[in-house]
Amino acid sequence: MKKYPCPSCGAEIIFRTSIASNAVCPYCRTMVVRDDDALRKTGDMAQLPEDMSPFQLGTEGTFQGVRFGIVGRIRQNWEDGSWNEWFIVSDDAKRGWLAEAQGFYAPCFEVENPSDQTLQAIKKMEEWAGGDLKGGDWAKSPVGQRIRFENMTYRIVDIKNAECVASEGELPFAAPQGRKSVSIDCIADDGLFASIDLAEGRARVFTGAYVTWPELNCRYYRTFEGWKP
Amino acid sequence: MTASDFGPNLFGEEPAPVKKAAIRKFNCPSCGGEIQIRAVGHTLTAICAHCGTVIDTADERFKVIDDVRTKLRPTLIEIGQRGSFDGVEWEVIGYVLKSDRTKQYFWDEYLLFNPYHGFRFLVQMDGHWNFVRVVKEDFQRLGFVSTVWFEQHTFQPFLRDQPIVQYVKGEFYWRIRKGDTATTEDYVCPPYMLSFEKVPGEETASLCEYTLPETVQAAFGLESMPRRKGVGPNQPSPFNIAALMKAAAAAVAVAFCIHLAGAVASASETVVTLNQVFQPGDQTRSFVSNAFSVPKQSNIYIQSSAPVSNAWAELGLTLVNEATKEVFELNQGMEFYYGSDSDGPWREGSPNADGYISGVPAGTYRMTYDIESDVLTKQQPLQVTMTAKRDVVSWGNFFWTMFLLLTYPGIAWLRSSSFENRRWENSDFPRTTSGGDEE
Repeated sequence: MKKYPCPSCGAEIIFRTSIASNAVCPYCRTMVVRDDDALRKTGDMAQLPEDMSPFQLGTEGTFQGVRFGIVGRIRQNWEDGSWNEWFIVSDDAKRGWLAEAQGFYAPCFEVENPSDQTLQAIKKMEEWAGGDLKGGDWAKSPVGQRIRFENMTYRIVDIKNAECVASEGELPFAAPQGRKSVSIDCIADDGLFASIDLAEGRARVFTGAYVTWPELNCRYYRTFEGWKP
Repeated sequence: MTASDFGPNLFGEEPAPVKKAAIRKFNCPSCGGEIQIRAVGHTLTAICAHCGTVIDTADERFKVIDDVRTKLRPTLIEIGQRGSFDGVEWEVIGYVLKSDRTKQYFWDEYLLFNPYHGFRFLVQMDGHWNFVRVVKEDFQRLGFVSTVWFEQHTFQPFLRDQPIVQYVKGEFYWRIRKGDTATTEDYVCPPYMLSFEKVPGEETASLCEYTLPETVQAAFGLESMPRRKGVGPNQPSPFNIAALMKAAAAAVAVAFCIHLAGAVASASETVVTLNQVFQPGDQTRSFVSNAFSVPKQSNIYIQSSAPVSNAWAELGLTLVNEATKEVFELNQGMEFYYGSDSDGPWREGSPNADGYISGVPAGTYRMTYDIESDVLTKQQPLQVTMTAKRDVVSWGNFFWTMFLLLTYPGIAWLRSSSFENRRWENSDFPRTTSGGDEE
């Protein structure tokens, strides 16, 4: 854990994980990047819209027997609504995202070194997308198709052109308002989940599963007046 | 990063709990009335409770999706009511009235919300209720003719439909308006039903669990419930026919084994035989056998035969215990007639007879017999043969036992078939099997 003064307001910005390079000042919402052990301002972050998410920065949960903590969040918007991507860091130093959409929770961790099979699968998806990684023409939509990567056969369930509404906490990249990405969601048997994120000209692959609230076994979650967890 | 960067408690202390539920209020762009959103962050469509205008809540522009003003309709469960199922509390936040394509059938769909557990649906049709959750699973489906396997259950194709949204109120996490259509394919495995809803570009699978009206009534504290009509698609059968059939099969097997053991152990010893030609002039037609011993309580099986032809004979048998004078009687009637009339030749009766004397206690017995016959009256001789055996296995008893054992399961099976027929008569695959149509 490292603490830095905010280059804008001087308040304390804490980096709890060495994995994160970017952060948002919790007080003045200045966006910062960590350069040579000092913080540099990269912009101002928009206010996060209120929501009824049970998660917040600091919430801890369990996935596949491993304890993880939430250190950051990106609020994503797309044509048919918005969802949260909570940046999580696990006890065994893996990084991933807890996707939260329409009351469904899908924690997943990044595939550090995608196999050739996975790279081929991404290439195939790019072909389907007309070669444009940054979204655009998904006319020949591969939604519903089955594709094999990371030794698992997945079905592509949706492809979203996402735009960042706002972000908070620590993040592995800069996520300013309006940051565009393409998010490809895939499912397999037994509720297994995979997501391919295309942004800034590169693809990131995440694998995980859909889990229920009791299965996450959370601590330090949000509480709401009139609601018992 | 090393493990020391990240301990078991990431933040060292519990973050300050947020006390208030997020509330989002805005004014209806159509009537100006206040609209309150409950599932903040999820809700994409809200219907003004004052004027019925359907509003897009994706952003702050509050675009009107549908400005057809409709009168607010009361519903059995109202928006904002809460009820618990399996220890989890749910708030009703949306209501959809749907109909089938032909507008013959209507049903209610309530959208339930809990900030921790997400969304569920409560569906009511003809008084039958289902608690529904969306399932994220890669289902392998081959058309609407073969079964679907999910969570150790085999689901049978039941009904394909094109439901139409007839009325909406409350709020929803998707865009919805009156007139929306979809294609649904339902598969059943009572008490469950798998429902696949297809709209362009998306297919949603839901697992429905049959819920008793009393459960819903208690959960929401409702005064009256719509009456149940017919059999629900996934209503569990009150007839646990599989278990009953298993029990019946086990009982039959046990009865058979007992009987077989009895057959093996039985002595089947001949105690009396008779083979005699009676003459019309015989002074006496009664006889007494030699004494014989019955070493343990058993039955006596008697077979008699007389070659009667368009005549009758009756052999009266009496078994007398030498010590107690206890008497057992059995009459063996033999009559055999034949002839021919306008329908052709006919025959009736038999020159043979057999029967049991059951439960004869151990002891020494004699058998007396007397014969009467119209053959003798007609001044003709009559040959009579008779054999009496003790401790004989009665297969008649066995079949009688089987009949008693199988009567109830048989009736239950017919009633169960009738129930299943009524379930399937509402499906795309009505069943006309098993002749179990009662009434």
